[in-house]
Order: sequence, then C-alpha cells, then structure tokens
Amino acid sequence: MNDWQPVTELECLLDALETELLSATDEEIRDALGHRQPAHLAFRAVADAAAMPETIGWPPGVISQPLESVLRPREKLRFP
Amino acid sequence: MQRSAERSQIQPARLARTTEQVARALRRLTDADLLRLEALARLRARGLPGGVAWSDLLNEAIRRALDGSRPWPPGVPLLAFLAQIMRSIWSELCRRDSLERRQVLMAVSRDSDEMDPERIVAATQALATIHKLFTRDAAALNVIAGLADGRTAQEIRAIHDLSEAEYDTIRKRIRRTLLRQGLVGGKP
Repeated sequence: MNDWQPVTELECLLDALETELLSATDEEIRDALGHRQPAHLAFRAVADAAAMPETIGWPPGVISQPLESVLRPREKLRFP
Repeated sequence: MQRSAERSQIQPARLARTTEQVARALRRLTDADLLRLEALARLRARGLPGGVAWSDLLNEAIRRALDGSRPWPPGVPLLAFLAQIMRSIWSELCRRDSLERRQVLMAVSRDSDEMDPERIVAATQALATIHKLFTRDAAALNVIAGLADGRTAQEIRAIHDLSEAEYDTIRKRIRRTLLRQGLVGGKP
C-alpha cells in the first residue's frame, strides 16, 4: 500500500463530493434542509464585504481599511 | 508591507473590475447558494490542521476573491470559483502544517516528499468522518469508496453493476446526506 494513500483518497473524495454539492439543485437543498438559514456569523462577513463598495464608498481599485476591518485579520488564521 | 507590495503589482482597472464583479455576485447569492457554500466550506474544512474552522476557510476565500489575489476566471460560476479557492487554501494549509512539523522534528529536509505520519493520520480520520455519514447506506459507501479511489462514474457503475438511473439515485442520496448531516458539527 502507498503510504500516502489516505491523503490521496481524501483529496479525490473531497473533490468529488465538492462537485456533488455544486450540482445540488435548489429543490434538493430545500428538500434536505427545509427552512434552515445559512450560518449567520459566517455570512455576515459575506454580506458586509459584498455591500462595502457602495455603502462605504470604497474607492475603485483600492482595498481599503474598511474591508480589512470587516474581514478578520489574516494573521489570526496564520495564513501566509 | 508585503500585502501592499502585492496589491501595487495588480493593475488597478483589473482589480476594480474583479472586485466589483465579485462583490455584485456575492450580493446576488440566494439562501440556497449560501447553504451550498456553507456545505462546501464545512466539507473542505474536514481534516484541516487544528485551529482553522470552516468559517475561517470561507472567510479567507472571500477575502482572496474580493482583493483580487485570486482573479475570477471568465465563465466560472462564483460558487465554483470560491470552491477552487477553498481547495487551494486547504492544500496550502495541509502542506504548511506538514512542513512545519517536519522542520520542528528536523527529521527530513525541506524538499523531501517523505511520508508525514500526522498528515496521514489526519486524512484517515477525515475519511472516517465522511464514511460515518453514510454508514447506513451501503450503496452510497461503495460509490464513496470508488470516488476516493479516483474512479470515474462509469467505472464505479461497472464495478457495482449499477444502471445510470441507480447511480444517479445514489448520488442524490449522497448530496442529501452531505447537506443534512454535513452541515452539522465541526468548528463554526
């Protein structure tokens, strides 16, 4: 057995399941989840960030401080 | 500052277009889209090194999409684009976690591709967690195993003697389980 097999298997499986989720229809989502709402906290960042250019007058082409303050600091996540 | 330097290398017009398009598309996401996105992030976060929750993964993907560090390719749907970014982040985190451990242990050189036992254990645990979602559905487990082996739908159908309709029905059950069970538990 290849030592890396579980890692390779996980990568293949995640890719395949991701494709399945992307292909789920709205009807399937309604059937599976009923009236469940998306997780509030995670999507507050989505909504705020998406609204940012208009509501705060974010200058085109510039990622300004307001966006940095809405989206959590990269350092916190230890991203390079 | 490194990020400022990175930004200055991106042409403003391109950045503005990308940012505006991403922001507009994000605003248009329906609740169903957001649930799809949440399910994608939760799925991808399984097996990640400690301390990174699914919402962190999603947050970073949105940040990269908005700041233009990952340009949105024409013709790619937004959810698929965000899923691609989360996949990249997932790979980065797995590689970095593995490298950090190896550096600490000083057991192998930086460029070595030798086995990382902890990464293998983490992958094994993540696979077990996903399999656990389908323990009551033997047919789904067969398909899951085939997918993990990198097999095509046609190969999986041939191995398990499944018609196209049967295979599609199993896929629907897999999607349903992923949505119902995959959206619970894990770090927020």
